[in-house]
Amino acid sequence: MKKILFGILIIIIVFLGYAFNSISCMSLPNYSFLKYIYNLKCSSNNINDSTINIPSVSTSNNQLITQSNQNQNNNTQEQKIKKISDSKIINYTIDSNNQIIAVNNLGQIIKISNQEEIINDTIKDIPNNVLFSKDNSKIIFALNNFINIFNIKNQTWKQIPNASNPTISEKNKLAYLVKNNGINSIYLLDLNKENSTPNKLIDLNILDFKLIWKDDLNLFIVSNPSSLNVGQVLLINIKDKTIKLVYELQGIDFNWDEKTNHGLLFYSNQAGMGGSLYLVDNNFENKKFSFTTILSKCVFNQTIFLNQQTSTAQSTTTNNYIFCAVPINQDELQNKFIIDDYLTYNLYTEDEIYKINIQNKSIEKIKPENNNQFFDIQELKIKDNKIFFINRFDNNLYSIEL
Amino acid sequence: MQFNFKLKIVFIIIFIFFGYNFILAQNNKADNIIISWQTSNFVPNFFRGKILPSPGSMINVSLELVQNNKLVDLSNTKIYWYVNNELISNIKGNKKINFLAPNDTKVDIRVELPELNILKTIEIPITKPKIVINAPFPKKQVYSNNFDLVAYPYFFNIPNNFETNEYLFPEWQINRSPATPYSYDPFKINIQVIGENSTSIIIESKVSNLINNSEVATSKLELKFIK
Repeated sequence: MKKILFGILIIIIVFLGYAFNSISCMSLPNYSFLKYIYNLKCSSNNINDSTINIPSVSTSNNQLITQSNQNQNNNTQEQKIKKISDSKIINYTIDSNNQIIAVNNLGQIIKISNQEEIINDTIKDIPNNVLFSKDNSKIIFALNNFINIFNIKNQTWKQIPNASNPTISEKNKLAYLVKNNGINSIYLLDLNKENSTPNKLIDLNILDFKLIWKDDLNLFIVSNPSSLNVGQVLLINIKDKTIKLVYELQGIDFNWDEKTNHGLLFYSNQAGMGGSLYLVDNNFENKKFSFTTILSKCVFNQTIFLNQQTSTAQSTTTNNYIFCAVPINQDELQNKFIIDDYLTYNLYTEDEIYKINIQNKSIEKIKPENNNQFFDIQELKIKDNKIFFINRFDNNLYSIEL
Repeated sequence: MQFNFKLKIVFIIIFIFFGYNFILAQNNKADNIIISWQTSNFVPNFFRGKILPSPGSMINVSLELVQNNKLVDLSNTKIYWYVNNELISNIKGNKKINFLAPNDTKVDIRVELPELNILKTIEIPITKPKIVINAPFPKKQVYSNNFDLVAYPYFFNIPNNFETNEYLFPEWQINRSPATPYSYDPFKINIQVIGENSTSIIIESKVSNLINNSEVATSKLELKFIK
């Protein structure tokens, strides 16, 4: 009898251990018993400073510190920096033909090849924000209280009134906000279909936020950032409209990449000064970077290699990277209200670019040739073997050949 | 006897485990009140951060309650709203309030839903209006003897549109002497350096709110002209 009871206890403990490990923080279990275990595992904001740190980035002597030595040969090579455009660029895309389409600070749409050509200048206001559809067929202009969608091929415009804060998914779904009598409504529009009509997802009594796609079914709701404010990150499922608080932190900012299923989390200290940067995985587990930067200075990139195995079978290897422009003077940042100072132009940074392998955490420094020019890097994009970015010191577009 | 002792220990561990989680589950109720706020002070249209209130700004505050991953219908729940400990609303289903920002550096908002045993407090920062002289020069060093500077006003309590000139009055000084900005844009000024030597340039900007004389912001920038 005693042995049976003891056996039952062992089974319970094993079951609890299994449940603890298997429950995902992404969704609340249906059974109340499992909710207890869920709360134990996921109740905090999942910020765990004790997780593995990505190695320090040296900023004093320009030496690279890596966890693995696999990239050391590259570190000794200098990459050429090329200015691509003399226009002041707000945002840009590189299409499948390696042609650059950009929007300048006058709202003009320009094509950049050997020379710059204005392809449309209908917009007379300076846009708040400019996005490109994932197939590069449309440009989304967020203007004062409305969104304009430009079809590059047909040169046609479509306006969405009272709309703001657009975001586009990898599958070309547009999500945006419509404000009406103090209520924010989230709408969805399929950009793949020319005549698609907007669908209302949900009305929310939540104010002052931006939207970011997690995947085709989930949207992040992220407080507009300020170092001085405690903001939230929520996750809403667009199918069953379930909603979950993911983070609530002082001076929070958040970004997510659908392809690599990873995100970046930044938050400042309690007084709003300085801040820490975290890599976030699909289960919202965090790894702290030993440096900090502004989220708009980072971009995720996925490289897929085809492995030739036999004449009949092939396999692929996927490498996920994050490229970050990292301010050289890290100490100075810790005495700043980083988000507010940077976004108000009270702070400029002088950056170096690092390529971080998400899987093995190795860091490679992208070392531009020494031309005594400083770069405050924004809108990093990776295409083929080139890094593109806007330099905030002159708002011109540059590329680095890797 | 020895076995019973071990059994008791195991049961105590299990009891602590469930007890702890029960308490945690209760606390999580509070974690899922989402209190958010917004104000509409002036910012330049490129600004993508959170607009902060200044004294006298209208602040709107909203709440949503999320339980079991669903928004909770609070239409029949009494919601108590306190601003700096002063009760300003206790109406059933009232999920939003608005008030004027006090002349302070912060304001506390407390929400109580006694029927659901829920309480949450947040702090809203209040800032003074700011002016930023945009200086896109690495190390604050300028190599051209003829360049423009632009001042960006933030968080003034004026309607948030592009026509700042109606409400905001900028004044400039270069090396402590009054300077005249461009007539078409008084927030933009041209600076010409005369002389052969490297020198420091001190640029000061003061912006006053013409409809609220208590709102004045100043900014000072020192640039090094390198010959």
